[in-house]
Amino acid sequence: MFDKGKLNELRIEVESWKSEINKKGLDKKVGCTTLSGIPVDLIYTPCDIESFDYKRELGLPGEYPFTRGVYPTMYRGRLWTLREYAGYGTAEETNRRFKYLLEHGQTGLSVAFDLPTQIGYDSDHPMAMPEVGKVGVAVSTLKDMEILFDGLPIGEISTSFTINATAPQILAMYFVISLKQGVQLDKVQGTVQNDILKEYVARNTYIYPPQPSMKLVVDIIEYCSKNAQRFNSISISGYHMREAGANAIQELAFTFANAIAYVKAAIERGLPVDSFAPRLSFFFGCHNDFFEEIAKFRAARRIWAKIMKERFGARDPRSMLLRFHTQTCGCTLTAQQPEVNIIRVALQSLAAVLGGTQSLHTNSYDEALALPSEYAVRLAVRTQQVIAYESNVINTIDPLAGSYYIEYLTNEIEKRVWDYLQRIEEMGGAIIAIEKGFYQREIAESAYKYQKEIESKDRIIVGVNEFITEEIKVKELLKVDPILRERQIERLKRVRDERDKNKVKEALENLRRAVEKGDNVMPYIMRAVESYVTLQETTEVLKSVYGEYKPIGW
Amino acid sequence: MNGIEIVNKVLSGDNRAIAKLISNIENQAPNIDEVLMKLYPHTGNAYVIGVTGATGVGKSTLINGLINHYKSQGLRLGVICIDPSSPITGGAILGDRLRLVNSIDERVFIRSMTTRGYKGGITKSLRDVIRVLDASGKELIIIETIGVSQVDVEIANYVDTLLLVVMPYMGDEIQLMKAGLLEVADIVVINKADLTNSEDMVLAIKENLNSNNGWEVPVIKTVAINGFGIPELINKINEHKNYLLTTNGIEKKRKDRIKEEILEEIFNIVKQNIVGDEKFDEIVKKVFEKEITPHFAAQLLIKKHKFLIFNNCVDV
Amino acid sequence: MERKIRVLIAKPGLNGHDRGAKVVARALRDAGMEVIYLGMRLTPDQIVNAAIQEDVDVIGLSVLSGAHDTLVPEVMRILKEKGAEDIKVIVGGIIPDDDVKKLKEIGVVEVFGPGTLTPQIVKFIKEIVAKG
Ligand SMILES: Nc1nc2c(ncn2[C@@H]2O[C@H](COP(=O)(O)OP(=O)(O)OP(=O)(O)O)[C@@H](O)[C@H]2O)c(=O)[nH]1
Ligand SMILES: [Mg+2]
Repeated sequence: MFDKGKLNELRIEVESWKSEINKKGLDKKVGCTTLSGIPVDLIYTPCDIESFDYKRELGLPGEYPFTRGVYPTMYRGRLWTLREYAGYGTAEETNRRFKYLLEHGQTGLSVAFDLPTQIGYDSDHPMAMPEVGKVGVAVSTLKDMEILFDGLPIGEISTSFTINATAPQILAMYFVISLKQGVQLDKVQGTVQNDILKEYVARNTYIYPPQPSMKLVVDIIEYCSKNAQRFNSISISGYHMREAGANAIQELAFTFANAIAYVKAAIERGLPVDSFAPRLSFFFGCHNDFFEEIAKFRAARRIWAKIMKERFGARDPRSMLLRFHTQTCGCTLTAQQPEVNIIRVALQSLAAVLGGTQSLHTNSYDEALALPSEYAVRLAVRTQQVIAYESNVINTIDPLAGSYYIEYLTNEIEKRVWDYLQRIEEMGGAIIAIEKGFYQREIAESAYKYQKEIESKDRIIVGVNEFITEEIKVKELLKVDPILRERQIERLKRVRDERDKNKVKEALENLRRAVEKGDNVMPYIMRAVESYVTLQETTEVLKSVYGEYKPIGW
Repeated sequence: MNGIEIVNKVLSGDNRAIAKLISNIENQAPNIDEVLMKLYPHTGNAYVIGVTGATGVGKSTLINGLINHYKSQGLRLGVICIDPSSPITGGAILGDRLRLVNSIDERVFIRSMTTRGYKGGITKSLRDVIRVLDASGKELIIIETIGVSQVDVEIANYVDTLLLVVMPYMGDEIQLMKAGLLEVADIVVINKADLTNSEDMVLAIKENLNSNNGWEVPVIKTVAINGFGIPELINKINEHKNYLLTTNGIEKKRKDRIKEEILEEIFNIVKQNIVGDEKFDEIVKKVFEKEITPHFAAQLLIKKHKFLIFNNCVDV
Repeated sequence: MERKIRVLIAKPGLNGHDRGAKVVARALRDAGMEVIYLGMRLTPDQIVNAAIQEDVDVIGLSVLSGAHDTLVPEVMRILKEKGAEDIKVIVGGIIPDDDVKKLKEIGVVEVFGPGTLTPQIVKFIKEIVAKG
């Protein structure tokens, strides 16, 4: 795109300009890098993207390789989904919160579950007791799910479920209540996280070893591709690895390596790639390095499109679309001067929007201290609304394209991600790399490096290592009332007493047989939850066949 | 706690007292010799198994399997996991215990230790720590050490049965054989046999084995994460133990060990009394300038300090 | 020989966010301490048992799920029951202010909130161990 001769002239000019500045020592940031360690120069010019080829590298929105965006009209056609992760205490409490959020302009729901629910313990298990309702809602039986969605029109909202190891049970419950509400499964919209691989790396809510867990992931992908075609059967997530310390490059690389493992597994199951790939969705974080994050999202779209087209031979363009949800990075929130978090979140969400996200969760400013208060959640939603309705940034698509810096960063990130993918491939793929602790070590190293940079003040965090003022306490902190746990456990006991014992026994027997045979577990789990079999009871059956995962450790 | 109290508590198997005493040994606390002397008559009952091999081959996971087995037999167990410490800061992260945490209770005493700058993959205090566990009534003691090079063979001098753990496709297996670890191993374990066909490795190792005083060193495949091969491994450990018992090998091993230790102690005592000599530098200079030989210098120093050494020794 | 500071780092409960625990473990190691890293999904019993056997000077508990209100008191109770209350307990994580007060009342020596810099923790541990 650029004239060779002119480029050469320019290069000489820029070089001498730079050396002049260096001689005088005017540049005080020599050697600075992005958060992921990409060197950042004083200025970018066409010389930094000399072989720039518009059609090949960017294309038009909605066109391969989708660098500019996955849809032709992007936000002019439809805004991103405002989606705030919510859930705590019991189903009643969360149901109330959902209604509140919908009333305040949120357009999708996102359910957070408590840890026992995520790890397959009923609320009255001794390991579960201290955690019931703490970081999300407790769901042990279908009864809880019925209450959770009471009065909410399942047919009209899209709901996202942050659930992995117990995704089959939770999804089964949701499908069962959808049917009860008269909504056919092919009309149900939403997303289930169902991304177990990153759990071994970051959030650690695994139950079984990786191999059988992968089987369950594919069971859901298969079941949805045949029955719930509008439901995103997996949300392949970099967010949690990012939170655990990964940098932007590692976030993309590990997410895509995992994605490749899932696609391979689904193809091995016999599913044609275009039958399920359009329903794969992604989930990334958005950190502080404004331009790097924007470039990351752009590079991500291009990489995924290439993987799907070139490696897996997808034909349907929808299979090549990287549709993703973004959450501003919780790890950037500070407990010191928490109001400053509002500003951080605003910048991060702006980057996510400029990066072309399909859905966005903005963190509440008090989240470094506890679960967010309603006031803080409202402010977080308002942040998105200011960007969407006041700033006018949505009026044109991918407005930073063509910026020398942005294009340079996009290329550089892409290159570094491919390098990582190559290394993981050589190790034998994502599962082996994870079992060997490769991701875990890389991430822990990055986390430690980041911490050291803050401690040496190579990175400034306002209020933490610079601009420190007297501590201002956040007053309105949400706490989970212990009475909620008592209520949850009471209800669970009642459900256990009142259900039809024979049906329970039969459903569990059938499930066991299906698991042993290697059948898709989804229909069996749906029948089980319908009979009010508890989450833990189904988990125990799976555990008895699959075994339990022991962590990699240090 | 005074000496007698500690001794009594350790003998009764009190975990807190055992733990404290081990720390005192590591920190070379002042009254330590006296306490160890009192414990000494109560030692010699435990059987000691060493588990060595390169990082990440699955030693801890394997030990977890062994613990589960021996625990179910009602044995009282002690486990010592040794990791190297940073030569610069002396710090270390000890992560072996993490793998054992689910299978243990108060009856299994596990202690993580660092080498504290001591070379050879083990810690200087190891002998005494083993004795403490032994005296406290542990019937079986398992020791995990890193074993990759020549210096790491030293662990063999501390244990009755030494397992060398390797895994297929290590790349450095040849290195390992040359490093002499194979020569001191009583049993070779090829762990992670699930990962790939390990037959080649079995053959390669067998070729390099020489029988160990008439004991045919077995090569066993295991998958520590699911327990495959563990029963066979336990059988082999038993066989080796029986072999040592029936051939009087155990007595010989232990006497050799005592001899080794006494000699080491003599060296240490002499050394301790001499390093402080104010003329030491002068003597070094003389040797450096070729006036005397190091051999002569040593004799000179010993002669000079003979009374000091003598007087610093306890009366027996 | 110099007396080494030994610290046990553990995550009681089900929360699996171990970034903080790992960063702190590394920082303590680099400060010359011996760190026994015990991992996660642990019961208070397992933690105390390990702390006693390892004869650590300090237990560092990382709790993020809000379950500190039951898990930390349980650790303190068992330490006492086993006569090991001389082992100092520090807690890291997201702990609301009123809870910090409560934890200190039951003997937790310090609570390190989000945004704590690791040199602060290193310094604190060195000081409490020196004080004995
Ligand atoms: N596939 C497979 N993995 C195993 C096996 N045994 C152990 N592992 C895994 O290998 C990794 C290292 O295991 P450890 O038991 O910690 O190995 P180690 O030799 O004690 O490691 P260090 O103490 O760090 O030297 C862990 O992730 C284990 O789960 C096995 O038989 N097969
Ligand atoms: Mg180990």
